[in-house]
Amino acid sequence: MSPAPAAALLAALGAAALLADRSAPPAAIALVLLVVCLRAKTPRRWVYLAGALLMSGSVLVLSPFLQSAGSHVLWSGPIVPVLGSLDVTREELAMAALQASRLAALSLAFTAYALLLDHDRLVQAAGFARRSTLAVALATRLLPTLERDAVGMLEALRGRGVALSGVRGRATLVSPLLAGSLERGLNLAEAMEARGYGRPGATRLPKARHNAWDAAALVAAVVVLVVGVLWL
Amino acid sequence: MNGLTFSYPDSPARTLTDVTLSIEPGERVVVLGGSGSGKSTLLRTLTGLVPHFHGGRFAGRVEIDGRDTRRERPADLAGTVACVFQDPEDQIVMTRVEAEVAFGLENLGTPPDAIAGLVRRALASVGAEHLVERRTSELSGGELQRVCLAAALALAPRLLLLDEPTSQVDPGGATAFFELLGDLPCAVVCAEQRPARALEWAERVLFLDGGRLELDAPVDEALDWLRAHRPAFLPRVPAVPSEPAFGPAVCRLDGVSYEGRVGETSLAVGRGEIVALVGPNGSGKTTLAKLAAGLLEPSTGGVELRGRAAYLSQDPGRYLVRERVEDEVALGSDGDLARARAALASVGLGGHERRHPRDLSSGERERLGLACVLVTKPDLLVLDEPTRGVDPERKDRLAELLRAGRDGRATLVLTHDLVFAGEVADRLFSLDEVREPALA
Amino acid sequence: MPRLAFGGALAAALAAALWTAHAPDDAALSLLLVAGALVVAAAAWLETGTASAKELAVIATLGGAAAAGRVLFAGIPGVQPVTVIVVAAGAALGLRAGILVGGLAALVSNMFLGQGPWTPWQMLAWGGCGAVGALGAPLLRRRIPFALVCCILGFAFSGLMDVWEWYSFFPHTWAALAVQMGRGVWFDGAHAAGNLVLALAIGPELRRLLERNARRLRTEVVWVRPAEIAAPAAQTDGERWAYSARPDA
Repeated sequence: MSPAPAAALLAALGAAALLADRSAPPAAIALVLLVVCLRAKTPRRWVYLAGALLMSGSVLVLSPFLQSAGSHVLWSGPIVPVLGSLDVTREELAMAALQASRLAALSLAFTAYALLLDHDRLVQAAGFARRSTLAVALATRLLPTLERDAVGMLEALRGRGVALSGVRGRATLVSPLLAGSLERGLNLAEAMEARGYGRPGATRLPKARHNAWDAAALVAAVVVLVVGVLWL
Repeated sequence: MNGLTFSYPDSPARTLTDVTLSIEPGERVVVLGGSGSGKSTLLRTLTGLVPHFHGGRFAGRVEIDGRDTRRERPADLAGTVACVFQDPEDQIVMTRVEAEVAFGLENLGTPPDAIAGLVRRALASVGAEHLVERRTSELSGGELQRVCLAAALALAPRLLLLDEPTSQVDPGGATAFFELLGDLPCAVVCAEQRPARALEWAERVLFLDGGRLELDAPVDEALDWLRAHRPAFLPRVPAVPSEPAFGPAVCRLDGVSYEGRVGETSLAVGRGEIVALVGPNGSGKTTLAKLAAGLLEPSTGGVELRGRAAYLSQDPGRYLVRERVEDEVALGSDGDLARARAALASVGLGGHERRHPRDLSSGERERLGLACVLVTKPDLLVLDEPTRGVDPERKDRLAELLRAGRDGRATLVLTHDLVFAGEVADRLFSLDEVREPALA
Repeated sequence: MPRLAFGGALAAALAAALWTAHAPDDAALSLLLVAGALVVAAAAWLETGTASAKELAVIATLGGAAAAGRVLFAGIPGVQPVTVIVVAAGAALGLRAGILVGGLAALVSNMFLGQGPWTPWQMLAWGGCGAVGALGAPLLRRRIPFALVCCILGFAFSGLMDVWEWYSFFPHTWAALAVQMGRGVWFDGAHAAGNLVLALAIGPELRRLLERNARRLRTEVVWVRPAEIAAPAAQTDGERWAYSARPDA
């Protein structure tokens, strides 16, 4: 599946979750996305999933104490400065559950995007905004190189017996890193101009043709969005 | 090109003086010269980057395919002229190979349906068709350079310019690269520091010195001229140094291995000795050198080091941390400026103490790196590829410098350049096995 | 076309903001749309203006370097050099460069540190830092003002992200806002303090460096007759060269 329809589907799911008024639909969406995320092979998925869980968990746990609404009191607590009286009502719990499930669904949609979608192809598929996509592509492509430069500088310093530590130590590398990256940037600009960048009439490499999965994903995205707006 | 005279905005001196030449279709030209002789500038005038990109004072006239570079910008000339520069990291724009090769075609307004086919053809012509779906961050230096060549050839230029294309690539890769240049329909102008392969391939030789064109002749005449005037630039047969090990061992590696990159190797370097570590890319030379210098801990085996080690990295750009040259060198001497100045003088950078390191030319930067490690007065000096992109005359001077200072320390030099190894070292240690094909 | 997109995106952002005000319960989605629309507007803004390879390459490399710097400090929570770099870039290179470097740094570094609904807001926040740098450039020439501004921007950045998170997902009560800001107080404090320390340590150096390079971004060519490239002593480096009229044959 090409990344653009998949991204559209994820966006639609996220939007639908955020439009919901009851907790059940976003929770269902979150569950579906969780299953999808678990299919990713990288170990980083646990970090992302833990982060998403933590965020929604904190919303669920904290919200009821932070507002006073509803009348079916489930638990009554002491009166505390700033927060007022700590009590938990059923309505508050319902709202907390709603917000938490919305956040969970949204975070998991982004996590699915980060884990499963090929960011490069997605950026390239945006044919209209050539300069922005080029800037993003260029910055993405440079990031590993610049990190290697930073590590190399640290290594070269160790190789002459200079050890850097802490914030101040690493801070001294920021300027040289930037200076080196500016030199790289100017060299890149030179190469880009020598390859014709800036000429009017530039064309684009055509995107891969859409297959059945892509069409299905786009249709599903539209359906989900409509359902979300109208029904949820 | 007629009467071309040029100087950059920052420097009062002329970078090129009164250069006149013409290049015929399909000709193969090699441009030789020391660092700072103006080779790169000459190539850039052929693309229009000089003067439109760099600025400066420009006199004379350059015409490419009848088009005057003063009136046309580099982007307009891009389809007629294509370039491959020295460092692939500074040319690659995209994260995927296919998009990278397509970049130039897109800029030129090639019909979208034709782009994919042209990309594949160009990659096939450099033997890199299997790389089309790969990410550029995963490729080795040699593979990246091929992709850059494919990107240039995809534009079907009439003139192909190569600015030291093999300086970041090992000898095997360099030979393979020049084979690709054998059969091209366009005129090719190649600036090179390694004369051997380039002179075999070329039909005509240009020699620049201090911005003046000293020689413009077919290869046979050129060889005679070089023999008479600049013998350092002639291809040389490497000597194989094979003195037995001597001197009390300063550094001993016993059966060290490291994460599959280096396997069970033993090496000892003695005081007063210079050992050259040779081998193809991917054989683990750099890893072994870092183990010796104490920058890495071996997985197995032991490293014994008597005294202090200093490691000079391959990339002189890593020695540009401070804002003044003498402060940079003084990092290694704990702030002692007197020692720093002495070290600078010993590498020939005597008058440059107060300059900003980034204002130095590439040759001066390499010498700065050397000063940075020499100032620490190490017992073991490890140099990682000190001759990348260095012209033959300066290589000779570097070899002299290292040999002159060898008493009192052990020196380990990593190099691809067997000629340099023969000149500088007392013995060779070679790593033959390629353990990481991704780097080869 | 890009101008149309720019206008359209701004209008969409305004509409989404009005929706937020009107329907606080759907704030999560509407705030996301506000941020998204503003990001699209910034991208459209980039499309206008001259197609200079230098500008694009410098913005992309500075954005990448700021992102790489963020990863370099990833071990120390809350401390990152992005704000300092973005403000310095804005001060030295102008409004456009400042905003775009900020946005790009957020987007690219999050690719490695974690994308989420916070990304568009971080892009806006750091873009705003770049704008502050550009607009306040004359004031930021000295070390102390620069450091103070970076410290304040650190608090503003954290504050913005806290307000966003609060309004989107927590109950709209003052208590909730207080708790939200309190939860992150160590992190936010580290952020601002980190900015202060970094700015004091390297602020002037960064600005000097960027100004050195700002000169190279402007190309000026002089066409001369061969005989005129002579007597270097006559050319002082205070002289500005400019594109003169037609080059002679």
